[in-house]
Amino acid sequence: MDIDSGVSYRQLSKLTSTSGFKFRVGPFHLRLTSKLPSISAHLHQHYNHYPRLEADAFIDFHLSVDRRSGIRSVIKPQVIFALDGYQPFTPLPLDQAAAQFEWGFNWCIAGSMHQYLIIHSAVIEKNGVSIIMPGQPGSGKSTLCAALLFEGWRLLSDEMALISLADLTIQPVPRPVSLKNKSIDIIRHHYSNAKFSALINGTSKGTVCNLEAPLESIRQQDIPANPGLIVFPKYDSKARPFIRPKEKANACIELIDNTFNFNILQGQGFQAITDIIDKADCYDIGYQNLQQALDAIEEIAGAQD
Amino acid sequence: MIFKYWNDQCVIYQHSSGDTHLLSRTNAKILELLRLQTPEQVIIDYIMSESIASNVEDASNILEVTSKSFDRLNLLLA
Repeated sequence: MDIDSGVSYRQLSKLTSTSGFKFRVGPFHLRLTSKLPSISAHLHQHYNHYPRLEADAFIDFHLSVDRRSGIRSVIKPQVIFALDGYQPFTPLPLDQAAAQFEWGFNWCIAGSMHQYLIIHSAVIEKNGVSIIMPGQPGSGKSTLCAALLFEGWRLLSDEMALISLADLTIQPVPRPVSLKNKSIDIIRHHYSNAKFSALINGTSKGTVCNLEAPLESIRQQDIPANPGLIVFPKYDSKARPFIRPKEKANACIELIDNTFNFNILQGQGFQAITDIIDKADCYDIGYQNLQQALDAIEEIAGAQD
Repeated sequence: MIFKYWNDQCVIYQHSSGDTHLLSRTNAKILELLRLQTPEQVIIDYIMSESIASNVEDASNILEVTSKSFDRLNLLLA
């Protein structure tokens, strides 16, 4: 798939504030409208090269991110996210508009795309070997995922593994990688060529920003991957590093705990998870710093070749 | 219920509650056999919850727990 050559900021801003900016991310068609310069800037930096849609294309998510009206448009201004005119979230401070869009997009996928098993995890791939990295906040999976992109790995997702219930392949949805707090400095320190969005301070997750998704990952967003490895990362600055094969039954339980829509898919979800576990080798890794994590991943992936 | 075995462990999915349980292979096999013999789902759920709650680890203990469960329900084990 060829990436789009993109449009100028002015053109994109005009589109977004009028008929809407229409683009495809993985299998999802979006139309986003906004009069906010920060949203246009975010789209221009992060989504300008995704495939654009025809005027009459079917849209999965009609989104808007705009300044709240009334007194809150002036005093401590706020931003509102809406899907098909419905506002599912409480307003956030206006300077968090870009973050609100990304979180809202996550919510759209997790809340409705139940043709997929949706696992809270990062997913990467290199040389035909895919790695699903489930993990709760604080496990270090987003930082590790971001770093691996600079080590030749393809980004399928930094947030959600979408597993097709039809054939158990992993559907790529490569998007800007969300980083927060210390992880921003870690990636910036290790990779001088990393391109970030502006920092957004004071969010519920602290300071957040987005790392640009690699163009090559966007170019390959129509190429699914097969489950190969499932790695459960755990960052602990005080514990000794380790790589341990994980019992599949334990991996199954932990994967279920990290599945957003398990209670919706029920038996079908359980069957899909057990089928994935059957296909994949499972590991726990513990690390004190980024380099140890990278070394562990390369060791595990190398054993698959 | 769906029983999925890997090595010495079993993960069980209960359709009625949507819950999942991790058991040893031995305990899961016993429960699977009991389920085939006793058709009433409510009885199976009761026995399973008793077994899991008591965290039994070996086959003789689970048989003892199961017998007591049936006694309390005034049923005879076939």
